[in-house]
Amino acid sequence: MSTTTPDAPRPRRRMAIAILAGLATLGITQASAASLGGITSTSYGADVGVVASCDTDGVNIAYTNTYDASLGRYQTTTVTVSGIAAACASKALALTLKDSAGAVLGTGSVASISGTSAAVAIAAPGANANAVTGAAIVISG
Amino acid sequence: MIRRRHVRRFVSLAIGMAFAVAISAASAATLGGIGTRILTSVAVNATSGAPTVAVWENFNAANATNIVGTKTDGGAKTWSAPRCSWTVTSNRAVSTRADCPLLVDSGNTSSIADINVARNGSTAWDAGIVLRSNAAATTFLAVEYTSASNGSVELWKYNGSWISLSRTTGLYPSGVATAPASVTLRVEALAPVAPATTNTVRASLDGTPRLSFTLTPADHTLFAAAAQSFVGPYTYFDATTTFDNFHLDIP
Repeated sequence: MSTTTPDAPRPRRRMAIAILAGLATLGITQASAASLGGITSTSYGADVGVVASCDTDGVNIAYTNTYDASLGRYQTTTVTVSGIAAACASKALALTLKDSAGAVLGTGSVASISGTSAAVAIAAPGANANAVTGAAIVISG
Repeated sequence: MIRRRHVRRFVSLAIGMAFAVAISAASAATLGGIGTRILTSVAVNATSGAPTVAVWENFNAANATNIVGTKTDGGAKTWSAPRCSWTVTSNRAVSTRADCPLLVDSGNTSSIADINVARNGSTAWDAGIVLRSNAAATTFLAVEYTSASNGSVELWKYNGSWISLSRTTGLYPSGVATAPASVTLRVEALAPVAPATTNTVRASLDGTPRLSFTLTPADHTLFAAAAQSFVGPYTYFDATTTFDNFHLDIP
């Protein structure tokens, strides 16, 4: 009896140590995730990884406007993005045209950038050319 | 007893570590596929530079509809034809006789006019756009797309008599039968920026510049007078040509 009484709480202590070790390991994992930056529980595995920019000096855009007889106005049907850094070649490009209030007027994309420019066709019927004030461009891949 | 205690201790530690590893593995699996990604986001502010369409017309109506007196589809202008009539055929405009302008009052003498012209299989056509016309169409400029000289674009002025100002010929060296079924004729006649006293009339076919002519100060004074604000399609000698998708743009 004298040898077993002091040992009685040991299994619980060991279990507690083991659980603490497990939680510590979990903590390290969470710390690693936090170091990736801005990851939330809903974005696990979808938006992770080291993010680098392939173009740091900006791009230029030029519009192709076509008269739409059914609408009686000019529509922006293609946007040519130029000045893309060579490092962005083969990446995907998505473009969104916006108006002065920031509302989306039209979108287009190219699956793979070839060279240093990309002609992005805006989904039919294009965007109201008179309302277009700019574009948001995302290159990823 | 000692062996059993050691076994229990080992099992406890093993379960604890397995728990930890399981949680870590689950987290890693959720993160999955961690790797380098390229992401570049750029916002560019730039307007399109497209002109504003002030007046437009599709001529979409039942066949034989009289166009004169109707309102344009956009811009709320009323069509007039001082010495003839125009009707609709297959959703296009056609004149009933030669030397026939169809006009709207653009409200100013600085404009860009654009229209689709179809020859409908003819190899003898002469039609185009009248601009800077008075309401009676007795004083005006005319840019005509014709079958003459293997296809040409001509600029004329009329003020009691016809005077040729400029022309570009030989559009179709292999003959006018090779001309496209229809072309888009665009005429730019923009007001000069002060202190300039003359201005240039430019014409293009399907986006290709075909004619450019700078008016003399005397002609500018004549055709840029306030009353010379009428513009529209025109047929010179044929009633076969049809027109569609007319619009007047403000740069």
